[in-house]
Amino acid sequence: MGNALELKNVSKFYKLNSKDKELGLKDVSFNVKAGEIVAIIGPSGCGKTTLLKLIAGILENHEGSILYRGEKVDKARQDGQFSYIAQDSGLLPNRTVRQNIGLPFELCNVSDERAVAKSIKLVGLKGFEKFFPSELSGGLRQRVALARAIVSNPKFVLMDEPFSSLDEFTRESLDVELMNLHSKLKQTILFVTHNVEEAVFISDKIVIMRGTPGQVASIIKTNLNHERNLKLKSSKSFYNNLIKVQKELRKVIEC
Amino acid sequence: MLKKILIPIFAIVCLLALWQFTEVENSKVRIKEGRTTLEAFVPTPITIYETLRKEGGLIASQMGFTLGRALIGFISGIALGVFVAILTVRFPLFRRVVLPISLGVNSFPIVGFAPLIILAFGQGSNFSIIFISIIIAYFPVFISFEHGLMSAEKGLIETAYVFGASKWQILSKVRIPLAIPNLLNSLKLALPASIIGATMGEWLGSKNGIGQLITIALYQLRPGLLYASLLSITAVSLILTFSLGYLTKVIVPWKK
Repeated sequence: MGNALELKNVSKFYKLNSKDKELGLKDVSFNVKAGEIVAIIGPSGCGKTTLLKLIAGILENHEGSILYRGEKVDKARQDGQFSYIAQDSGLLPNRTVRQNIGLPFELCNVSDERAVAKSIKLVGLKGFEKFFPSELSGGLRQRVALARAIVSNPKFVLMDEPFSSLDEFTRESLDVELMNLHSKLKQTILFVTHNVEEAVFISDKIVIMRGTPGQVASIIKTNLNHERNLKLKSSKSFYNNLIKVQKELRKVIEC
Repeated sequence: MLKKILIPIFAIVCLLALWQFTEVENSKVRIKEGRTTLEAFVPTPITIYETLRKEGGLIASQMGFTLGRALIGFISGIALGVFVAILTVRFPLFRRVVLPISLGVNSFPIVGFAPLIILAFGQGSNFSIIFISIIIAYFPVFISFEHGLMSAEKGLIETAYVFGASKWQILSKVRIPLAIPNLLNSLKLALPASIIGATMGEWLGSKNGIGQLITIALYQLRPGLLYASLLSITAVSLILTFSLGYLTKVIVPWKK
């Protein structure tokens, strides 16, 4: 499978004042294959979210190259190939569940009620279509965000600690939900998290970052061929991966 | 619920009764002393009621002029406030120019501003009166709506952006809908303000309207008519403002 995303020597400077600037990210390079799930993990302040925002095109002015299928990310974003789930769900409070999920279509000036209905069914939101985000629990809100992220069948989904504010059980069930969706839709996913267990469970590859400035410390392939369900968490291969990532993270923190 | 309504009504009735009683008793003393009764300056609640009953038609017809002007001023003020606020958010350079000017003009006392408008556009002209009303209605709308547009959550804007939203789409799908509660709140200030503006404009010079009726009542020493006119316009203004509050609940059901 070819590379969906290629990052080469990506650095990001922050302007402190008119004279001084601070290096936020330094020479970050890695690739994400099409259909792969890559988790980015690292201590707080190592630039995980900055990196995700650079890839999403939210932040500009970086050094190095970020290419999506060989082209600049802006083009893919404008073509509606990207979708995004923010930590706080990013749902518009004035829109119902159905209207929030239909937003990607609306931005392209099209309407696809069937796709919206299918998405609602896929993430188990039937019956909540007319609810406003303020009427939903945190877990349901993230489900809406998930439905919106997949509704227009985007090629690339960016997730910024999407389940971090949820309790352990809800997070676990949403991780499983995400894996079920991925097995059906095969989208490329870049997932920022600070939870080692979550990173190992969902990803094919884990990019471990260290800071400051944020750099790639190591890249670990999980090689978990097992179907991603809760049974996996009691397998030996999962445990070995968990220990491996934890060791790497400890090294990063001790450095 | 009944208590919530009954207690204020009871308090108002008590106050009116006290006002009536005190004034009647005071007038008796003043008549004995050979002095003018207070009634010549401050009417009793019963006098106001009688005036309302007798002169209700006149007050209503004059109110029609005032409300017509206020309504035109109110709608134009909203349109102007919304339009300028959108431009300031969309074009930062425009914002840098318009915001300080708007805040400066808003700080200018309207009592001093109104005569300037009348001097410029002519006494007794409908345009002068409506213009005063527009100016007064514009500021709360502009300031509040602009604040609402600017305070849309960064995360929501970023999410829409990644989904491929253009700058205009971010404005129309994210910023504007989220600023609607601010706009509706500002209308509760702008509506009575536009009525005040129209009344003030008429008071400074007009052939009709509540403002002109107040001037006549003042110079003809008819305090009953003066109070009845003021009370009527206040009541209409209050009813309209409360209706706007209800409208807010209907338009923004998501804002709880």
